[in-house]
Amino acid sequence: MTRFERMLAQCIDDVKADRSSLEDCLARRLSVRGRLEPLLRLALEIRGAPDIRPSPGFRVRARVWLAEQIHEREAAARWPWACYRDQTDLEAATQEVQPFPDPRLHRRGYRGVWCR
Amino acid sequence: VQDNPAEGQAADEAMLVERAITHDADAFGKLYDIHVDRVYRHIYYRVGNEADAEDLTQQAFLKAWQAIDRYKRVASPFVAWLMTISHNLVVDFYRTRKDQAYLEADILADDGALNPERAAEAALEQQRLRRAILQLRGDEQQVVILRFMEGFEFAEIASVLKKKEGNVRVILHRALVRLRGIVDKEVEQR
Repeated sequence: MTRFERMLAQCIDDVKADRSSLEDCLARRLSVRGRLEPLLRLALEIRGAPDIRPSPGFRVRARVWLAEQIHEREAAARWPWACYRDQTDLEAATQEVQPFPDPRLHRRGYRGVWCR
Repeated sequence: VQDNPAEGQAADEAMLVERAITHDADAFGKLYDIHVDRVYRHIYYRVGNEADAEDLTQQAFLKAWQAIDRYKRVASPFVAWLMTISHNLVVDFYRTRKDQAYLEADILADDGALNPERAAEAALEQQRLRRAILQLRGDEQQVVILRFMEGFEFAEIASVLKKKEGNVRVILHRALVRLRGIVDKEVEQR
């Protein structure tokens, strides 16, 4: 990082935190004022758009969806048979895999070969 | 009892995070309530339309839940961790879509809602600026959005991008030089 980059970042921090005004910042750095000023002015012009936010409908829909996803995943982790659609699936799977996998594997994110 | 409300909120959030790590879905739901606006806004700035922003926001929270065991509170604030996940999803989103023509009209949010002439003028400038920001490259765009539109500190940005603070400052400088060029060129063409 160059000295100029450090100065630019410092000025941005100071002005944004109201520790200094833009003019003060530039006055303290006269040797680089010409390079610093256009970048600093541009940086301080950029603002967020506080009116951008998700619709209330989406917030609720997404929360419900998330709760369902979590519930499904947690149920599968606690009781892997929950992943089977019916008894036939279950029987077929029990011939291939051990029925009670080590619970420590589940805690590490393992969901069993049957829960893809 | 916390004297400082901000400290109190931080402590509450830390407690929710601790509970979420033990797979407490209610605690995670509360974290969703706290952060969904910020995550959505961040993604929206980068994809520029509501449908994709909604889809990616949902995915971001689901991924966060799936990876919550790996979250380390000491390494970065929870919101920074969420932003990292969001950032990776946006990168994947563009990688699969290939086209970069993502700037839709609705990124130019309704800043003019204030109505008076000066507000409208200022809003127009902001729109131009946001359009220019979306022409920046990946990391440069991310640093500008996080620092100036989301109000992240350099240390937090470094943690989101998994870079050193010094590197973030270098990227910011590069981004501002490029942005200045884009804005000046646009002014000349007007």
